[in-house]
Amino acid sequence: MSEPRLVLQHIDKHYGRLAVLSDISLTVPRGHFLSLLGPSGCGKTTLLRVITGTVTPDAGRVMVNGTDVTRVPAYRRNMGMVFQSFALFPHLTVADNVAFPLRVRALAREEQQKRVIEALRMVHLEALAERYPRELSGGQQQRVGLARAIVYRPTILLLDEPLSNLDASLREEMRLEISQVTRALEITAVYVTHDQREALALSDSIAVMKLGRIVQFGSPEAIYAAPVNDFIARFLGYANELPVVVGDGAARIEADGSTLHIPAPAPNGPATAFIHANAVVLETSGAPAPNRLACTVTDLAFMGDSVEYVLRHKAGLQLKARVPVGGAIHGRGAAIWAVLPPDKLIVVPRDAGPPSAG
Amino acid sequence: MRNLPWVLARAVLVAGFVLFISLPLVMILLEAFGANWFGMRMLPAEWTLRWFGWAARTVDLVGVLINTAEIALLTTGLALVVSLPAAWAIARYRLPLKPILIGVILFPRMIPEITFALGVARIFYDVHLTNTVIGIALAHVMLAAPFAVVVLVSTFEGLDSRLLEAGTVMGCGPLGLFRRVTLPLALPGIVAAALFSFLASYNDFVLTLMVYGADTVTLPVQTYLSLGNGYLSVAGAISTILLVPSLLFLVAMLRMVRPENLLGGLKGA
Repeated sequence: MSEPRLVLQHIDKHYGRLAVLSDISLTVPRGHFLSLLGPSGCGKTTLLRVITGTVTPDAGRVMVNGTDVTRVPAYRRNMGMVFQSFALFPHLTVADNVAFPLRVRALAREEQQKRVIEALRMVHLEALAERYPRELSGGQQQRVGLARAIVYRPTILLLDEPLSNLDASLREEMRLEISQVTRALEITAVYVTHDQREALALSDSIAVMKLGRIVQFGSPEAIYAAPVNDFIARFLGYANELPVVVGDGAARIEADGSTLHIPAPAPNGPATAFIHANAVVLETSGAPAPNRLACTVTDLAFMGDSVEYVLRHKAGLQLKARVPVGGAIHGRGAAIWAVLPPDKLIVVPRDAGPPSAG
Repeated sequence: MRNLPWVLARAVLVAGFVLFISLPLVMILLEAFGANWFGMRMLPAEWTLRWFGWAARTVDLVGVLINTAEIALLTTGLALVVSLPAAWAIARYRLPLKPILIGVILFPRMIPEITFALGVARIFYDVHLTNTVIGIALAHVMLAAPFAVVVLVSTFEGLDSRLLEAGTVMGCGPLGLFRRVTLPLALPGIVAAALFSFLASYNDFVLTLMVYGADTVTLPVQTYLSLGNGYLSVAGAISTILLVPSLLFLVAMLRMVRPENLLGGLKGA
């Protein structure tokens, strides 16, 4: 077995009294794509900087290929980085930007040229080599950023919210580009984002972060299927949440005390039940079924392939349902049953919030 | 729809402004290239280069030009040596007493130049720096450095620290980062600071007048001396010569440095 590409051991970082990173430990195998997912201010970018070396942790160790690099300056770590702001050098052409890390490494001219062309071809920009960054669109600039970050075959490729400065229409295209390039090079990548869809689509594993801690770590499938608390469920985009109290294997909806059937026994106490909008079934009649809530349609939006309903339960709960186009469309004010199939519900404990000490 | 009165008013205003700025210059050029210009005549009766000839015969023009250039170049170099690190520190570090520091640097420019010049002269007589190129250049640095520092501070503050981080992650050590990233990004500001310094020295009259000597006459001082001798047209000719480098610099500056870079940061330069 070879050493893992990257190991973080008990990383701590404080700014003044503010704990930005608390006891972060992670292992990233070779060729693995890891995402650090969390809201702004959760410490994910600081963690990235601890890996590049531009931030020195107060405690803990950074191991790359089995070697402790915690005290190695950033410029000797051979990391590649793609920046949210692109961070292209405005005084250099596209080709010179991509060649920059090769010049720093004093590679032979022919080798430089060969690698620059190779990298630009990989991001489909060979035709724009002589342009300046200001002459390119945002998407093109970020592809230059990607080419510049891989051209010197860095030990680890770090990506700091690379899509968030791009137009929505360009994001998916660029995400595919990142996916293809990292898979083709079998490069180890650490990707920072606050967008759960990016993390789910790209990653082999995801570390969900909050307030400087890793709250959950696992494969995208595992995290999506079983978030460990309501913070993560909300972050993963579950559209409906119902505050419940669990006792004796059943959950009672807090608002009206009615019983909610849940798939598996959950720990007793306050909890939150989540269900996706497209798992909610709407009925106008039929036999009583478990988890059937009487609702009124308060709003609806036609989305092309589906209709999104906003419903209000009599106890004041609001629900969202996304129903494929085909059946009858229910107008505003219509009375309707919302069925929450037990096998589609997840029930998770409520996040305790930030630890009081520290 | 075109609003004709407004367009006319604007044209008159612009023309008036241009005239206001350029009239003194026009008068000096007419003095320098004209003769028999008396009474109420709009223009000289005769066009001539003889005043330049007079200037060349009565004044050591080459010597004066060399003095002026030497002093201005030396001032530029010294001003940059002083203001580059000062501006870097002010822009990039958290300094205690930063406002006081900036105040001290700007001080020589904020007080009347004649007051400052008297003080400099008083010191220079004691240490025998009057009538020396290095002495006059040192005095000029006091005038040039404030400009240079102000321009360089805004240049360095405008440097995108994310670009510096990018350079570092890609393998630049501190020196390499300066050479490959910081310097090229700051170059327009540094060129502007150098030009300002050169012109601050080249254009200076009051301070130079207090510390010059027979061996260190500069063009502005020579212009004044010629005027004192009663030859307005010869002074005009010397002024015209004095004008040429200034205009060249102005053109160079507008071509090399975008004007907005002199006023604000350098983002996206």
